[in-house]
Amino acid sequence: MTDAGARPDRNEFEITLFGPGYGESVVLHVGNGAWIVVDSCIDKENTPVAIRYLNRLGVDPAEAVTLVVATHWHDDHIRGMARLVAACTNARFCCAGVLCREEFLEVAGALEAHSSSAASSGLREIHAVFSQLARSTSFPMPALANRRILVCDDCEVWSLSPDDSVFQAFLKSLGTLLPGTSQTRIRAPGLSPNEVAVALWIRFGDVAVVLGSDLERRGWARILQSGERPSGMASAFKIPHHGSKNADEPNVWARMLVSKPVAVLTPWRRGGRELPRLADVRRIRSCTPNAYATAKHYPTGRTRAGMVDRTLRELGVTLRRVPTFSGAIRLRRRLGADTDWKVEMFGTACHLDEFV
Amino acid sequence: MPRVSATATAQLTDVQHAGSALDVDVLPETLVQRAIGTPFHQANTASAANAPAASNLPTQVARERNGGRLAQVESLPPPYRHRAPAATLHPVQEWEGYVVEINDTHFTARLVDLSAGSAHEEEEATIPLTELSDKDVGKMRDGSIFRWVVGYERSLSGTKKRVSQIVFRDLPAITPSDLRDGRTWARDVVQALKL
Repeated sequence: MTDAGARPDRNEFEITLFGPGYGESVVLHVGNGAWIVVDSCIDKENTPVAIRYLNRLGVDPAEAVTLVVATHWHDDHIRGMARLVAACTNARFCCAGVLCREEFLEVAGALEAHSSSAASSGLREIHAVFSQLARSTSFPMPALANRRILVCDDCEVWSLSPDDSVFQAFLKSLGTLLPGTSQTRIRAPGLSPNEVAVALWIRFGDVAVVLGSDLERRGWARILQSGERPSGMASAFKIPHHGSKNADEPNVWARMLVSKPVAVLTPWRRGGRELPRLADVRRIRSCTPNAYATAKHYPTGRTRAGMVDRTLRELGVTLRRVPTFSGAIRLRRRLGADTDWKVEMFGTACHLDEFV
Repeated sequence: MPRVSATATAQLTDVQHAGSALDVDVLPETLVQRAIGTPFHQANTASAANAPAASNLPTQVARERNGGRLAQVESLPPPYRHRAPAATLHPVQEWEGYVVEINDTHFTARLVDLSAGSAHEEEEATIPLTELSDKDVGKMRDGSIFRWVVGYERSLSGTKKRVSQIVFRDLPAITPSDLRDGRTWARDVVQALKL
């Protein structure tokens, strides 16, 4: 996004979703110049996109960002998080309560303190974030189901997950991250399913939004069963887990969202798997006609020496470019005005209809 | 005695093959010996073709030779005598990758382009398993880290051919010391942040 335009008015709610095909970050203006950043991804220059965007709006992240949330530690949601936390010196950092447990931190410390790999990993980013927090004695806010994690002026932020019931299962699964005694070190894999992801409910004035992170269906079922979650219907929805069927809970659309809400998602691709699939797109379009994605087309491979291309072709190797930041969807809505969300698309962002 | 880094070892190899200059003062004696390539007791009689004359050596080394400090390694044979001449690999493209998916015929990996100086994964490759040795196929799992070089191999006879070489990194297993360090770090963080 080279031309971010003007910053929002003081009474204007803004949600901007960045995501190119691998990684996502959400930047929110929650009134009176206060900003929230949820998750992090980086751009081509290796800078967190949230910092780049705020700078382009003329906003100082150190002053204006009040809350930074890492919804989970998978590397497509957390890349650049340590730099984001370091830049947002006034912000409180929030992550799933279970990630603040000593058992989890021990695993992160054992795996990442002496890592020599050039490749990034979500666990390494978490290690860097907690090291940064400890240096600055900046206390993190553990997110739990139905917990109000921020109140400021006419805004409040609630974490809807993770539920206590997933804590034990998560802690037990930590052992699988460590290689066996005779096995060599590997890049720390992610843990599935995404049951400890933090889903958020954010209200500014009388307008509410739901950010679904990568929370899967069982997590949503628990949220719906809870009688303690904030009441009201949200008019904008960050669709969970890149539109995947395993994160779809029909009752979320029926009981937590207004009719035909604005829905946004980031696509995802890894190996032979891509999200959203065509069936996912059709399902989402049946719920709302106002659905958008940050990207549809994936960039092609980069140009390199002819002999490299020839060698790869002869070997039967397929080389693809992992997309880097190029698409964003911005939703803005003035409080008090009888209007709906104003939707702006940047870069590769498109209406979900274009997937069909 | 200073610790020899991988870089120093690489320089050393260069010296053996190319006879270029080397700052011997920063190398341990054993390696100086190997760089010179000839046991001390033979140095004065060796021809200029296969060993440098003592008078050409840097002062520090000459002094140490005269003091007899290299005597302990004199019995070691000069390494180059036992090394078969090898072909040389000239990388054109280098990646570090990690495995994200394995199926019956191929595996998929995320790649960091080391040639371009990338700091994160910008490419993804689907590679036939036939590119790997049976041993590597057996060991490979989700998260395994490898180095991949595409380049030219030049044989001693001057023949040049294109090659692709994937080497899985046998990173050391997690040790009790790693676990101890992890526990210490976690405890420090928990105390500092009152978690």
